[in-house]
Amino acid sequence: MCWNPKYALLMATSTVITWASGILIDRANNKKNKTEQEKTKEKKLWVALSFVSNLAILFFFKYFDFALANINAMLSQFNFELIQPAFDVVLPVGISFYTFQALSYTVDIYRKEIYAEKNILKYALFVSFFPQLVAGPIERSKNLLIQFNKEHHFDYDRVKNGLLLMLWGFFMKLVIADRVAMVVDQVYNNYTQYAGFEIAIATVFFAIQIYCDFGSYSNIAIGAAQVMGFTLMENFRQPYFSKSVAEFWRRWHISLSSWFRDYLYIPLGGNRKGKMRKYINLMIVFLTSGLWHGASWHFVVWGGLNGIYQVIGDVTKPYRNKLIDLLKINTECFSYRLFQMGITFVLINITWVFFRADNISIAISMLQQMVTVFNPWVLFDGTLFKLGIDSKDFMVALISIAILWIVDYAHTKGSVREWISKQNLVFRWGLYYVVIFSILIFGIYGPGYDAAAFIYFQF
Amino acid sequence: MKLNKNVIKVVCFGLIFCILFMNIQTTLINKGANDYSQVKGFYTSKMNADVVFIGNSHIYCSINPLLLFKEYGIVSENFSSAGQNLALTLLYTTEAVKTMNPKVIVVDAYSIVLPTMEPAYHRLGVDPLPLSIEKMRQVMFMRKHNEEFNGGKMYDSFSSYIFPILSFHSRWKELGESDFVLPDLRNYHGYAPSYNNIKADFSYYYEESTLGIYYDSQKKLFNTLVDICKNNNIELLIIKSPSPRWREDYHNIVTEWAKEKEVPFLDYNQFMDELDINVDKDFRDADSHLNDYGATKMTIHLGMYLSNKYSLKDYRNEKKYSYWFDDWEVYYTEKLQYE
Repeated sequence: MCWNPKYALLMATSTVITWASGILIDRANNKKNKTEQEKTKEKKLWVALSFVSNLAILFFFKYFDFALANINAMLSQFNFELIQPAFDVVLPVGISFYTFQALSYTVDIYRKEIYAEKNILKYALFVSFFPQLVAGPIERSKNLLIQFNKEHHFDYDRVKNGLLLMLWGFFMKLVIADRVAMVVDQVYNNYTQYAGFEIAIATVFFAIQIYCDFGSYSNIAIGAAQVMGFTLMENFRQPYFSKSVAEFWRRWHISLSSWFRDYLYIPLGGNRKGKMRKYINLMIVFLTSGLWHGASWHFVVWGGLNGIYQVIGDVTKPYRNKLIDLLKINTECFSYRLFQMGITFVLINITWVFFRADNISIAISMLQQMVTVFNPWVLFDGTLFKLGIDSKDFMVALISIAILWIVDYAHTKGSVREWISKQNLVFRWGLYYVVIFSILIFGIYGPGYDAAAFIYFQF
Repeated sequence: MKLNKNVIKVVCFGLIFCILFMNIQTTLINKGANDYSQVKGFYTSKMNADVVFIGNSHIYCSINPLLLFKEYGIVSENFSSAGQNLALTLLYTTEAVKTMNPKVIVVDAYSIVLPTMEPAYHRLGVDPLPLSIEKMRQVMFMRKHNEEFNGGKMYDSFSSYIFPILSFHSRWKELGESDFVLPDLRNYHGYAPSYNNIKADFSYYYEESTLGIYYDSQKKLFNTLVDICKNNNIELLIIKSPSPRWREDYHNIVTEWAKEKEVPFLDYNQFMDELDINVDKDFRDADSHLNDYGATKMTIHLGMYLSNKYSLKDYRNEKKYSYWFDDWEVYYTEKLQYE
């Protein structure tokens, strides 16, 4: 990832292209001397040009190295000379997010869901809206762009609520995500030294890490926007409470999933063209989603696995229902829902191995090591405290994960911030201080304190 | 009306936050052995001191202000920190002038020849000092100095000196009682006695030692020290306690600089026999510091010198200084336990 300001030019290019495409599509819509067919043809041309040019930029900066490595791998199979790139391509920060956001605008205009924004500065503000520029949520023009035309006034409660969401985001990131990441990094970067429960724990921790990491960015972005009077879409809705993989994807990175649904799955035909086509469309969406997450085959496999889960889930659904009837299983009770959540969590965790491992063969090797080695003693003999964090940090990790679970569970019942606002001032403020100082004390940030540097001969 | 109420709420919330923040931050700071309390004690002294001793461990191990009071009626304070170099001594001098306005400032010669400072020692010396422009200038100087001479990879970020919590927040794992209840060391007035004794090894005294590339910058700092004292009408005295770490070359450098600026320099390494320093019994470690017995011998001599040279007031008969005798009792009772 690169923060070089010159890459802002790329964003400016995407902004100008999509803004111009919007104007041109709008103009095509309003041409009175043309038939609907001609209008559609012209509009499609502008949409295509917008997509091709934006995706070309994205491809070059994100996938050039990946494509070249694959081409070279093929060439080497036939003993051809390898292509040596004459330059280094670095990934500009946020490019995947703002490109998708800008493209959604082109399509929304094409679908006549919004009017073209004439003011390029206002449109540029939409593409580059700083709270969510780097890591989403990937906003839709029909939600965010129109908010730039509204007046924004100071509202104490709104600002307070925005700050509270940001605070929770910082807690998720600094206290949970970055702490469990140390275990994940230790095990995944030295995977040959670990097996069985060690890999399983590191993988569960990665599930928590990626949720807290990504979820925290979204919370901070949504909160920061709220402070300024803007409403961004929800991006994570307690995903690990999902009872199926399909449901997981309705709760996980919602802005991306719904982007793919609206701008890829539905245009491909969605589920309107028969079962087989639906499954193909699902696979296309998830393989593309995998590639969007990173230019590497292990991300593609990760996306593919998620797609396969859903295809298998759909294919086997009638048989599973029959089995449930046959065994007279009560599906309306807590234990069944817990069972479903457990199975979904395990399935998702298997996909996370492919997401986190450096390549497919490492992921397969780790999965093999995880299921073939039975070493439950590592849970009791202190081994856990040698996985990158000591016993005290491990305790903080477990307590904060429990807090995360409680907050997520509370969210299923209603707004936690609303509940807090109904409490007495002493409790409310006490809670705020506890969270703020938990972040300041238990957060993973700064240079880190090296106790050894302070060990000296008293004088 | 509602807006006013909200403004009040925000202000109250902020104030409570600041109070909690300062307390939690102080709890988390590394306090060394007793280094933090020792320095903090200087700021909570009940009375101004006529003499302030500044420098590193060679000062707080060698000079006993309680004995100076008991024998000569001199009111003094040790204001020193471990491993202190001259750049930090300048900050301590500025603080001493601001806080005590003393008549005499006594600086350790070993600090004068110390150009660099371990980052951990630097933190121990700087963190207890109140936040001030001078403090932040010193931090900037040390970071720049370290960058020039040592690659600058060891010092903490500038912001962490304003908010030490940035460096110390992960210390929550090792917090002990002394982090929550700071030991009150005011009775000792900055003196840190030890009753251990280890035979000192003076065999390195003639080993060649130079300031090398630091010579000019150290001399400049020394001249600044002289100027600070002169500008505030404070007498400056340089001393060196008997120490195996001291070298003849250092003696010559400090003698030359002191002579140039007409500042008196007492090097007790030159007349250890006169003090009756016993290398077998009067040191707490082999390579550096006097123990309480050695410190007593040196303090008696230094007290005589201070009384004669600077005509300092004898406070022993003043009622408001009677607490010094109580402090002496605390020290002496402890001392008796080791005899």
